[in-house]
Amino acid sequence: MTTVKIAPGAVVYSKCDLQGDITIGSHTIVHPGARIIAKGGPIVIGDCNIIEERVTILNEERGEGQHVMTIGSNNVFEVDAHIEAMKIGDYNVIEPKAHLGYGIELTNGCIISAMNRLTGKETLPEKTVVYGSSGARRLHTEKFTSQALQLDFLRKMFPNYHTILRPNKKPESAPSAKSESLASPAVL
Amino acid sequence: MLQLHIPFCHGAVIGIASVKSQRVRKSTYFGDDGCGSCLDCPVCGHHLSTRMVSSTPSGSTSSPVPPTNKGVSASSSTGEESPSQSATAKRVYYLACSVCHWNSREASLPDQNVAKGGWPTLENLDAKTIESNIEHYSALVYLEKAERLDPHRRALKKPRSYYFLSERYHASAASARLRAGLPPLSVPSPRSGSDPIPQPSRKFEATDDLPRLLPKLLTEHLVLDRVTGISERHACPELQAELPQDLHPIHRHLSVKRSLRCRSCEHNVCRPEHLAMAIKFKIQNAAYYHIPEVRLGHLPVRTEEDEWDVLLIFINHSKHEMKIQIQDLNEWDPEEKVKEFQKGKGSEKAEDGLHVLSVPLVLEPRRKFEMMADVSTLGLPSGDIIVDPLDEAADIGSSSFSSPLDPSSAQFPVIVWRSENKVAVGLRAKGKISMDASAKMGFLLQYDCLNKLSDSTHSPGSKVDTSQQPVPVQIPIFVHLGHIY
Ligand SMILES: [Zn+2]
Ligand SMILES: [Zn+2]
Ligand SMILES: [Zn+2]
Repeated sequence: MTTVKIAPGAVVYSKCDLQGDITIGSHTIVHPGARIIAKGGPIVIGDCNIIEERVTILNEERGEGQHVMTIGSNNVFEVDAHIEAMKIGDYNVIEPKAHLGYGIELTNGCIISAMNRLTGKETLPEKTVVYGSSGARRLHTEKFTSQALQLDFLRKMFPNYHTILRPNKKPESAPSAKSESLASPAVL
Repeated sequence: MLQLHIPFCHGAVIGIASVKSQRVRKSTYFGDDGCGSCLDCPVCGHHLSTRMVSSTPSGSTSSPVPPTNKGVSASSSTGEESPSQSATAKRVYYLACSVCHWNSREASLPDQNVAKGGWPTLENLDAKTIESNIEHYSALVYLEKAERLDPHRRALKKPRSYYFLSERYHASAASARLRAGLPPLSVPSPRSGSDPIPQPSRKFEATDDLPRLLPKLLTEHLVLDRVTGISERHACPELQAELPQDLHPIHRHLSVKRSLRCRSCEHNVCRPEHLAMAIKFKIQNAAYYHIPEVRLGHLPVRTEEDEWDVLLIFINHSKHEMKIQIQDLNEWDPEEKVKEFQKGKGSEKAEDGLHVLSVPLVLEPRRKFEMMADVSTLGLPSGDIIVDPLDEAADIGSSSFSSPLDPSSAQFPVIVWRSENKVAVGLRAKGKISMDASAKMGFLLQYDCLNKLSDSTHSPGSKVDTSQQPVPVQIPIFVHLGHIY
């Protein structure tokens, strides 16, 4: 059963592949071609994230009950990133075609460069940069940066080109039991 | 043939239109092999880009301008001034790496007021000693080479042998200084008695007195983030910072481009071009979409005495299906081909661009001899090999790279695999090669060329005429197989 709760201000392309119990926080933008699949439990995505084209966020069925996958705020998932990590903090950047395995946990401000593949069981410390073709690591010293300008731009431009899903979640974030999800793409 | 080795910097060349300004930039070397204007990241070696921030007059810098969400696009050296800053805010610049996110503030380098240059450089205390030693040893090398290679020239006391050698063996800045300091006639010659070799200010000496391992290395817990790695240290061998905060931007190493020049008429036989405006580049760029690319798949594998398996990959960069044929080199007769083609199309207009394309290279007998192959090619397929057109979307789509051979898709047993617009063809080379010779294999590649340039010139109303007909083009191809034995 698919239940998608979209907070006000979020922009979600109407034909994204959304399956299962998904909560999308306010001002988060989900591009066309993104896949968010909650089979093994709910996926809770925070505010001000950018989820680009062909990104897969997958909470896989792993037996033994339901597990909640949580993604914080101000993260950027770039084109064709593959996310199975169950816990992601804030201000992370996952670059194109990067892969985060099930056992990975991102704290805050991490940058996973393009094509890097992290598997195994590990929690990355804050501001870790995984870069280069061999996955070298270091800690960066830059400040946490939000994507406010980019978000503003996308929020304005997106409805001009795509049909988007109407926010259906109350600002009080009362758990709405409505199961109408992909029902009414906003007609523009 | 005179070989010239010209050092240049990729970073400084990019975006420079005229050859003249390129030369100006080129001349600003830093040290022996570093560019004066480009800096590389000390951690990952990527090109450092300049970031701009606004600082308040009190001196404290505000938060850096948020980079764009694409790490790649952040490499441009411009930023935006945050609108909240007052007009009195000063712009300051710092360096940052878009790959590993190192920045010059980590090295506690002060922010600069100008966008280009002005970065303090760490002086190596031993630089002078090293430099004088390098001069000393390079002079020795020249002397040795002069003796070994040019005994006659030396005997004749021709002054140019020195120049000849330094041009041939990459005249570095050090050797150029050395060269300039010498009188033109003093050719290094052991018989002359004079000793032009500069002596180093302090000679290197081997020592047994090595510093002992610091005990803290064994007693203290090692935190990898607080020490530099071996690649970081080797990136700057003369300083070898041990702590990350001591890492300093590295002056970009220069590349060397080689050009060949005729000795008698100074005509440039081979000149490397880096400019997008250059005719040579334009021809190559245009040809890229018309001619199948041939690559050597892997090193030749010996199967039998005097036989090697060769894997060639043919890549079709055009948007049309391409039929290729691999034929024996002996079948190549350019003049015959031209006649045949002109006979067939004799009645048609000659100004069609196709005729130009269809005329193969006619070689003089002398050059034809040079183009003989050393080994004969076996296993030539008898029919057409179809190479699929380039599908730009396929790259983004399903990752079907290097799909294993599907027996139904194989037209001949020679096709080893095919994937998207690539076909790998297995050939066999046969012949005797001496141990130190490089084997050269030759075959004739025939492909159908579709003139797409004329497509656009035709008005949409006109009938599809001969320009849509593929024209067979034959190219002799020689593949250097390397030192196989
Ligand atoms: Zn440079
Ligand atoms: Zn770097
Ligand atoms: Zn000449």
